[in-house]
Amino acid sequence: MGQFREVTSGRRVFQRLYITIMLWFVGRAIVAASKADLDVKREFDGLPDGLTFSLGVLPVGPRMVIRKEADGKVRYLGQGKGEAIDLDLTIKHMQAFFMIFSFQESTPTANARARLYVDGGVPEACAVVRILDIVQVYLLPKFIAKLAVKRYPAWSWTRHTLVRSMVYLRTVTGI
Amino acid sequence: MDTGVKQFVFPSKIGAGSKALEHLPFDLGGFGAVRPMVVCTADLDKEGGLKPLEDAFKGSGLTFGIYGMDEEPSLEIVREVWTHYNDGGFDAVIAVGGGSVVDVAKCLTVAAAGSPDALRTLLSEGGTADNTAPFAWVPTLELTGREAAPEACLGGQILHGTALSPNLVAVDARMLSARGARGLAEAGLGALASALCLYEAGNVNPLALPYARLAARQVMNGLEPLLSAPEEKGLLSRWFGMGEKREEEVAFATAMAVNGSLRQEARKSLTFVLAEVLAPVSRCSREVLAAVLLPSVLEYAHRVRGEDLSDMLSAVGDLDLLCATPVQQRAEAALALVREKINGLWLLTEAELPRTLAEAGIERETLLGLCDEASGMAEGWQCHEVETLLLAAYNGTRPDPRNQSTRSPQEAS
Repeated sequence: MGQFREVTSGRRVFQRLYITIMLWFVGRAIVAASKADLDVKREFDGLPDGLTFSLGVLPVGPRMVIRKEADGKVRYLGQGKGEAIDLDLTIKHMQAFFMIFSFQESTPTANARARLYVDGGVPEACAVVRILDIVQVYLLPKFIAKLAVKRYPAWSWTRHTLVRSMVYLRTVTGI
Repeated sequence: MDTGVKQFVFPSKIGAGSKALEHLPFDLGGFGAVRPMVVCTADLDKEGGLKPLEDAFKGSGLTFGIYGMDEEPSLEIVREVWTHYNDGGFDAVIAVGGGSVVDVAKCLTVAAAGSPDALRTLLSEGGTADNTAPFAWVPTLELTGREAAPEACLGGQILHGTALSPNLVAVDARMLSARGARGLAEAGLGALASALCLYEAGNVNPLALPYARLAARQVMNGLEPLLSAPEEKGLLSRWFGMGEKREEEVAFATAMAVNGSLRQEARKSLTFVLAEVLAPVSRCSREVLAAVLLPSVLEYAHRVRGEDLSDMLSAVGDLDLLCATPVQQRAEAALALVREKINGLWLLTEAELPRTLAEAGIERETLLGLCDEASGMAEGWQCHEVETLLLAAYNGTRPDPRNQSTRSPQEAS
C-alpha cells in the first residue's frame, strides 16, 4: 500500500503584503511621472484615450489598475474592482512577482523567462513596460535600479534630481 | 521507402531553469486542470524532496494529492492510485522522479481518461493509448531516459502512444538531487545513442535533427561533470548554495526530456534494432548496448558505406572545434569524440559500463548466431554488413568490410 495525503497549497502572506504596497506606490508613481516626466508623458500620448491597463498576479491578485482618461489625464484606480480592463499584464505566480519587485530579477529577464503574459495589444504592453522602467529608475537608487532595468539610462542632472523630487512629492502627496 | 514526407512529433512543453516549478499551476490551468495528483516514491516524500514543489504551489489556491509509492509498479498499484484519484476528484497527474514512478503515472493518466479495465485491456491486447489525462513530469536525477518517451512499461508489458509523452516538463534545479553514477551514466548513454543514431543513415529526418543535436550536445557537456566527484565547497559556498553543478544538472535533465521524443525515430535505426536483438543475451540494458554499438555503426556507415557524417560534429563538439576542423575531417573528429566519451564514462563508472559487446557479457558464438535474425530486422542492411559491424563492436575495433578486425583485440586493449 502506498501513502496518500492531500495538501492544500499555503498562502504567501508576507509576499502578498509587500507586493500590494509596492503596487500601490508604483501606481501612484506612474500617475506622478505622467505629469512630471516628458518621456512618460510621450508614452501615454501614444496610448489610446480611455485605455485601462492592469498589472497583477495570478490567481487572484493583488493588482494595480491605471486608466488614461479621455482628456489625456492618467488615473490610478487601485485594485480596480469591476473595471473593464483593455490591457491585462499578468505575472504567472506570486514568487515571480516578488522576485521582480524585490529586484532579484529584472523585468526583461522575467519576460524572457516567460513569467509574464499579456491579454491585449502588444505595442501597448511594450509601452507600459517602458513606462514601468522609467518609473523604477525614478523611485529606486541607482545601485538597485540597475538590477531592475535592462540598461540604466544616462539622464541629465536636472532629471535625476529635480524631476525625481517632483515624482516623489506627487507620489506621496497625490497632487 | 522514402515518401518524401517527413514527420516528427514533439508533444511536450519543457520549462527548464530558475523557478520552473512555479509555472506548473499556470501551465496546468491551460489544460483546464485545477486539482492535480502528484505521484512519487514514498522515500522522496518522506525525505522532504517534495518541498520545492509544495512551495511552488503556495499562493496558487490549488489543492493537490500526493501518492508515495513504496512497491514495485504493478496494475494493482495503478488501481490503488486511480481509486484515490477518482475519489478525490483529481484532474491531472504530476510525476516527480523517474523510472517506475513515471510508468505508474503514465498508466494512471490512461486509467484516468478511461478506467483501470481499459488500461488492463490495452496492456494485455496491445494497442495505442490515445486518450490520457493532463500529465506533467518533474524530473529528479533518478532517470532511465524513457520518461519522456511515448511509452510506458508495467509488469514487463509495454504501452505505446504519443499521448503517453508528458504534456509538461518542469526541470528545476531544486528537484535534481544526485544519484549513483552508473544509473545516470546508463541514462546518458541511452540518450546519446538515440540522438546520434539518427545520423547513421543518409536520409536523416531534418525535423528531428535539431532536437537530436540539442540532446547530444547537452549530454556530451553535462554528463561527465555530473559523474565526477564533487569539489570541496567552502563554508560561504555551502551557506549560499554556490559552486553546485546546477547548470549541468538542469541541462542534462532537459536533454533527457528532449530525448524522449527522439525514441520513436531512434527505434527505426540499425543501432537500436541490433540492441533490441542483443538485449536478451546480454547483462546490459538495450540503451547501453545501443551506445556500445553506436560508434561501430557510425564508423561503418561513414567509412564503408560513404555516408557523410560531417554534420555530426556540430552535435558532439563545440562551435570552436567545428570551425577549426576542415569539412573533410569533421566526420572523423566526431567519431573520435564519441569513442572518447564512451571510454571516459567507462573510467568514471569504475569499469562498470561496457565499451565492447564482449564486455557486455555476450559470447562470440551467440553473437554470430544472432546475425541472421539481426540482419532480417535491419532494413536496408546486408547480412555480411551486420556481421562485420557486430564483430567490430564485439572486439572494439574499426569495422572492416572484409569481415576481419583491422587490429587484434590485444592491440586494441
